[in-house]
Amino acid sequence: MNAQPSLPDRPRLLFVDDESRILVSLKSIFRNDYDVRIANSGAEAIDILRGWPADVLVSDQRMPEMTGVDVLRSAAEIRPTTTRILLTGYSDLEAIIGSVNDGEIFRFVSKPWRRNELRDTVAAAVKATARALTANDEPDTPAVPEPVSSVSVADQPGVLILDADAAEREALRHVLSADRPVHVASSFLDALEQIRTHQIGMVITESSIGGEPVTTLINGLHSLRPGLVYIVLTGQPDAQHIIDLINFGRVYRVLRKPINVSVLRGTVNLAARRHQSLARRPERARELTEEVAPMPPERQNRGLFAKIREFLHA
Amino acid sequence: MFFRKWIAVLAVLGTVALLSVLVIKSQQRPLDARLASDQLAQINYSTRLAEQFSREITRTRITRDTSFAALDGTVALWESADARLAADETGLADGPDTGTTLNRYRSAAAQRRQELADFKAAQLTFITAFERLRLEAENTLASLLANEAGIATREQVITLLDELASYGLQANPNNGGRIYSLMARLNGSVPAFEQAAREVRAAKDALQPVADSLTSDTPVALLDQLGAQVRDAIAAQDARIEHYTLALAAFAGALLLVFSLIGLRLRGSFNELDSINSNLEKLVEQRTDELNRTLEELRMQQAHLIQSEKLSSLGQMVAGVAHEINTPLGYALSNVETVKESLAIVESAGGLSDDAQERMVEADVLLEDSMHGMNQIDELVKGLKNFSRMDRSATELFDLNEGLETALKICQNQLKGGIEVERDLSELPAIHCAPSQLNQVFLNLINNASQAIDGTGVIRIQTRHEQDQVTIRISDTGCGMDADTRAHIFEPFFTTKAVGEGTGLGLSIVFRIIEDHGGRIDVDSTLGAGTTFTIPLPVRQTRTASASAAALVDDAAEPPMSAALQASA
Repeated sequence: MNAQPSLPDRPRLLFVDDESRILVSLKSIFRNDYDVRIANSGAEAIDILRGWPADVLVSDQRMPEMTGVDVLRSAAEIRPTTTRILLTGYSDLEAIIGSVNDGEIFRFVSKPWRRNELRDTVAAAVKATARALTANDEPDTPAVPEPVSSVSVADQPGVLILDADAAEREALRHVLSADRPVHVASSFLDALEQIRTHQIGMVITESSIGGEPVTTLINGLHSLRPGLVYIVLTGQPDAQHIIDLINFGRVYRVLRKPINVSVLRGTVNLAARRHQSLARRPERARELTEEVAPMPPERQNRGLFAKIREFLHA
Repeated sequence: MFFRKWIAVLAVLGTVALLSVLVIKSQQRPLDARLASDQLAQINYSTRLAEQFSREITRTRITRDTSFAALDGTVALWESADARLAADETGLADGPDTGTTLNRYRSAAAQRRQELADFKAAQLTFITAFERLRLEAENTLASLLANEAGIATREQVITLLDELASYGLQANPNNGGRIYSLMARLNGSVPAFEQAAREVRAAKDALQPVADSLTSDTPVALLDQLGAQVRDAIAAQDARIEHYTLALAAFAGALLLVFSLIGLRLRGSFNELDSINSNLEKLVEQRTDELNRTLEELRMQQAHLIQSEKLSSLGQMVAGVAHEINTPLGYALSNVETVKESLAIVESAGGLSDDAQERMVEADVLLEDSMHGMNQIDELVKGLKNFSRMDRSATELFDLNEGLETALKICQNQLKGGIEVERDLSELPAIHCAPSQLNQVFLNLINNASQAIDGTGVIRIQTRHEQDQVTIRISDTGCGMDADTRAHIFEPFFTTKAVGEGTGLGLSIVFRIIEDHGGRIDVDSTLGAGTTFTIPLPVRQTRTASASAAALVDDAAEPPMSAALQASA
């Protein structure tokens, strides 16, 4: 991998798009401050990545042959430390959910982009890469799986299930309670109370509780409880909502209902590992938290953020 | 079935035949009746003549008539009466009983008339003998001496004469004896007289049996018997007729009973039929109602299908268009910003001529305008995406003012010209709803409002929040509509537009959507003055719109909760 602990003077950016005018335009924005390379297709981008450690990869989604999510997934395998951004004019839900679960993207940016906003996002991505290189993050998936039984159930970090539907809550608790302590909540305040009083490592939540998207809650919790890992379940996925969950919630996974039980177990195990990794390095957890985009003021929902802060500090 | 039909026909024929027979049999035949009375009259006539004959005989004997004129007249009448009695027309000879009796009578009568000759001879002999006796008596009495013996003889002669006279007229039991004793007493004293007396007595004795035989009542008795037989025959016929009448009455009664029973059964059948009919009517009515309901549902479903098809294809189109527009828009906007920045750098470097400087300023303005235009394009595409809600959840918390603004933005093109839009929007709480559907409602109503306005006019959009309810009011100053149109506007496929211009689905969909959201839609319209639609919606939904939303928007259906977790295979 030949990873260096620090960045070169000019961070390396790789842009992928099948429309070359987009590439020209992007290059014109960044060429003064960054070492920019461009690729006209996914395959070309992968080729470049193999020989050139890009710090940030920005890809279009809708491309012939290889989609953006495919590119990001391959990139994550070749260069795990490269921060990945999706820049797209329109994405279907599958692509968006895939970009979270498979691409583990840093941000989702819509076309047409705002020049300054894109600059800020890229700068944040470069910073995230630098930190990742310094922290030398370990992958979530270990080479040899650890036997789960070596640690007792009670010692495992707890899982909080936030869901307004009682039957679904119980079904989830039933599936998960064999491996780790499970706590349940049916409203935001319930959830805050559980997080305050129990040791919680991950939150499995319905995308909306009582019609209110959970984005605000997750965004607020990031700074207050660094190291929490979020899995979002959704029945009626809303593209914009999931994009928000990526940008402002930095959620770990999004699972679409109906959910396969083995997929759920696997995802929860991965999330637990991630939490443990972050729990061992609180500084790194805090760093990652800082990378979460702040909610724009107009979207901060009726002082819920303040409520969260107040509640957790009480 | 076939046999039953024939049996019924035979039964009817049998009944009619029996009835006819009974009617005919029970009729008194007028011919028979007249015949019988004729017979009786003839019999009576013959009887009267037979009796008259006997009376004539008696009278002839008493009056010592020797002409026999009256007797012969009676006999002639009697004979002709008997001939008529035996004639074929009377029909008496045909009857078995009456025939025999008639024959017996006729032979008896004929015998009587034959005996008449004997009677006449005997009568003549008697009268002649009696005349001689009278002459002999006068002679004898004149010859008798007026002595004792003569007087005694005279007395004896006179007594004998009296006895003989009464004997000759009507013999009584003592006459014969006395005559014999008187004759014995005379004992030849007056031989001529005695001879004459003996002759009278002999003539009388010869006449008596003949007269007795003639005056016997045998023919009359036979005629009586004949009459009795005729009357018996009439009585027998009457009795027979009476039997038939009785039978007819009984049969008629039986028929009446049968008809009553049939009538009763018919009535029962009719009642049953009536009730079946009324049930059938009810059933038909019920079925018709069901069919109408089904038809209505089908129409609704069709309308929904068309609508969801429209929404779905709109969503797909928007998805494609959004990508196609956003890509060029992306670099165009970005490039303009870059160029603008570059120009600023060039400008700040200085050393430009006045003309170039001016052009720089102008270029900056133009670029600013280009950015504005592109931002507008971006907004429009976002509006389309928002409107189609292709990848948005079916129900969410939504600010209706935002929906109204989106709809207005999409309708913008139509609202140019003389149409002024007045916004009177209050702050609304976000309500739990299906935004794509409500957007559809707003777009429809604003669209209709703009189409109602010909030339210049005002569309007024008002929102209000009162406790648990938000109210949206969209009014226009357009053409309005009449009561008839107003009554039908919410029906599927009702349209006032020309064929091909509108599907007539708009307001029926609007109605359904509002209903699904637990709201109501009221319309107030004055022809020529304008129309106002008022929609009150509950802030808290009593029933979730997600079920109907699932039917309207593909891929948005929430799986049942139990299916939210799928066991691994």
